[in-house]
Amino acid sequence: MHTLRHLVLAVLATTGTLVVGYYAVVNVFYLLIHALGLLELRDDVREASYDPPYQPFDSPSYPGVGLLVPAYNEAATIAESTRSMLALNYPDMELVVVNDGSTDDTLEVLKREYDLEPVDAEVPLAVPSEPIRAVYRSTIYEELLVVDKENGGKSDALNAALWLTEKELFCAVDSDTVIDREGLLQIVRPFLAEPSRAVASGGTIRVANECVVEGGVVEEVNLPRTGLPGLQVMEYLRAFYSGRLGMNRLNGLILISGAFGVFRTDLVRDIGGYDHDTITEDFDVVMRLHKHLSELDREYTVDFVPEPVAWTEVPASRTVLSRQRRRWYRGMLETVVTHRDMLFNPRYGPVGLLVLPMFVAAEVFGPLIEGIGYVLLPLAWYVGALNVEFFVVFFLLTTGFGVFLSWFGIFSEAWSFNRYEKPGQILRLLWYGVLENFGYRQWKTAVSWRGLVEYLRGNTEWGAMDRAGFSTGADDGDGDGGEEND
Amino acid sequence: MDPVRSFLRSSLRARHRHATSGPLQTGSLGGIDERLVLWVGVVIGSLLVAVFVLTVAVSGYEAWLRRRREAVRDDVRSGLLDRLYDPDEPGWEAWVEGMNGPERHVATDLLDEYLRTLEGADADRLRGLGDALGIGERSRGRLDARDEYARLRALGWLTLLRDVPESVAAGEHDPATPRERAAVARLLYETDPEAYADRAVDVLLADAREPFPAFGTDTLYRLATTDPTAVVERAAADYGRWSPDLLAQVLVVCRAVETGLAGADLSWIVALLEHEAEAVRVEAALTLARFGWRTPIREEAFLRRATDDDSPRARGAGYAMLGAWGDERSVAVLGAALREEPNDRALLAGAEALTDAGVPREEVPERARPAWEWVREQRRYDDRARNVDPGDGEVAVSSDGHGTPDREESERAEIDAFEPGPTEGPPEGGT
Repeated sequence: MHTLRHLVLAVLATTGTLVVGYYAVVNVFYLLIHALGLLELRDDVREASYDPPYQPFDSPSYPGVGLLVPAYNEAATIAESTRSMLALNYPDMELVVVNDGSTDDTLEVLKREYDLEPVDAEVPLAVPSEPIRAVYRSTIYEELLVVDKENGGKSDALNAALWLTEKELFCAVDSDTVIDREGLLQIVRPFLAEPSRAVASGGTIRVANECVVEGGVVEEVNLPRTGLPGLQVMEYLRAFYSGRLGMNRLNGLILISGAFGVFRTDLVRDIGGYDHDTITEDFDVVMRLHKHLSELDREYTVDFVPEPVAWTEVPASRTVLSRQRRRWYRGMLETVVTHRDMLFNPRYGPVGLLVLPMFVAAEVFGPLIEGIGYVLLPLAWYVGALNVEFFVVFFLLTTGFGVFLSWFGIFSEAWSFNRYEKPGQILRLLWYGVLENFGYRQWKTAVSWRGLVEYLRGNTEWGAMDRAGFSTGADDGDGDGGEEND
Repeated sequence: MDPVRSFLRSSLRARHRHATSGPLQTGSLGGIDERLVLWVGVVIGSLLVAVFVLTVAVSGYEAWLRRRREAVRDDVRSGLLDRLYDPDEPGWEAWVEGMNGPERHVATDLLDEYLRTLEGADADRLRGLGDALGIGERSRGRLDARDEYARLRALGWLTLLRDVPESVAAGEHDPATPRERAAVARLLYETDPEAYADRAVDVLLADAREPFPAFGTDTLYRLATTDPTAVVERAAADYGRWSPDLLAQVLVVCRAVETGLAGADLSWIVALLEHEAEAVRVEAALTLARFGWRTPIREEAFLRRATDDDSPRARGAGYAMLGAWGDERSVAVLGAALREEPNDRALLAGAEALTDAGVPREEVPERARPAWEWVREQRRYDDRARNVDPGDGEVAVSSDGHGTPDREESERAEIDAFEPGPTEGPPEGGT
């Protein structure tokens, strides 16, 4: 009996030590990334303060951009979001909307609103997607092309658009996303600064819930008062204003949000477009670009630009948010496993040697290890082995440091582009940074474990997501497609 | 101390107390572990306090600044516009002297905004406000700043104010980066394009190796529009020293100023069709598409080589070149190449070229016919959306798909008029 108890205590001790040790190491990495993020943000603020004295609309040197918009069952919002995108300020733009086999009136709405007529010719390209039923052109807007195809999911829809755009760059946009009027002009900055090296750039995604959106433009930035959307504002700020900026500083940005990212068209076509077999196609395509360009020994940059902003509704119900986060977790696992040969591989530079390993340690294992910690604590208490030192250190390293990282993201926001202008909003964000650690964080850990189980079972579903549009105060905000397209 | 032993020791101690005092007992804080906990707590606590105070302070300060500036914005704007359009002297100095900090800040913001949009006499008059605010003087003082952004912002202001410091005019200011070279060249160009064109081209291209930012390409384009000879002569002399990316940028500029290059020596561009970099071959072909009606570069061997590139993109550019020339021989070579073209995107480029050359459907090779139909449909819709009635015949537009047939004709006629050497006139199969 004594031996068994000793064994249990030894297991608890070893696991507890590993958990705390893990957090100590990962937090050092997070601190490094956030510090680098702050340096990068300082440079971005300085960069944004210099506006060369010339007119983009009068210049032959601006690259053309094709906006690619996959849409599945978006009848409620597609007319407005298309109008919003057509109104973006950019000198050379094309909009390719793909109706991905919607079962609602998405196509009919587009036909009616934009006076679409079918192109009386077969597509002369071997497009790597489900069959295209028809291609429509607007007789009002020269820059609008609508593709109607069989349902194949978001990657498939993006590929159809990618093969049909004629522009040098393309911007993948979710149809429920509202881009700042000047957003495209800002997100192409890396391509203007280093035309031959820039291959991709991503902008910031912010939470649109409770913002006032009129005519496809966010007119008033409001902070969700309570509940899940408010906590997600906090998460998005931390992820974009610290995490991605830090990775960018290391030239190791491996994530560009599928809701708002610009890529060099020919390069993504060269790597075969978006992979159909993944549910996080945005993560996967950036990883494949890194791989492809590193193997070619080509000098390149993948940039994060903090100021161009795209606004999106985030889920307001726990069920929908859980579905979204499980899918993200499964997709992350899938992409990491697919590209595991890049881990610790010097051939892939900072991505292979530093960013990807630490990303895996922090984002893949982090929630799982934290979950183990949450199980260990009551177990240790039950068997009378709860050690206060370990408990306090565990609490400080997870909750205490977690609050610090959240507040660091808010500081970056307040110090730089400051979209939440009122000090009251900043105070509320600081409160959310504390609040998320009590209940929400633990719930996300459980969701990640569930995502792991689904991944191990081979679940590749997107899950159905309904949408009602910004003006009606929709409460889900995820994805577009049935195969859904989020 | 080994953390496992420490854990076990305090756990067993806790277990002992658990047995004697009830289930809420925990291990005790003591020894090195206690100090570790304290240390971690102090570090994290300090970080939290520091970031909280900083965040609240920065947010409050920014909001206070913003409120003060917004409160005076309307008044400053109306004061500025009143003085700008006052028939008498604007009296900028007196106005600025009576301003407080926020008003000066707002006036500077508005000056920047208006100088980017206004031209002519209004802009000249407004520049007096820049002097009154001391912006020109401050900017001149920052040209040697260590921080590149400070130098760039200074050059930007001097450009808006059309104020070339002596050191820049005399070539004594040595820009350190491609971006700064572009900013100096822009300052010279905007201030006096006639007087400074050569100097600006020198600044941009003399020691250049690497590509410019888009602002630099735009500046080179403006310079080339004013004086194409300076740019083309520099390119002909130096192209061998440039990186492929810079070379491609210069070719894009040459293409954009097409009419000004009539009569210039373009043999260097022809040579670039053999360049090892695909991007350079593509841009060279597209540039020659604008100037290709000269007999020497339209020999049969040359035409065939242009369609025989390993790269589908370069072949596509070669097809565009042949289609833009549009004479019988070019179209024949184009048609022959398309009968064998294996790449669908190059085939599409070829179909566009055939459409540019006005080749009727029955003469389009069978292999290229679906692409040709597609291109024809796309152009029909382009024209409809632009409210142009294309009639019921084939639509013909410029090679970049943006010009109307009439404009294309007149541009070619204009170029022909400048052409001093032997020409074959407008393309036979043209629009």
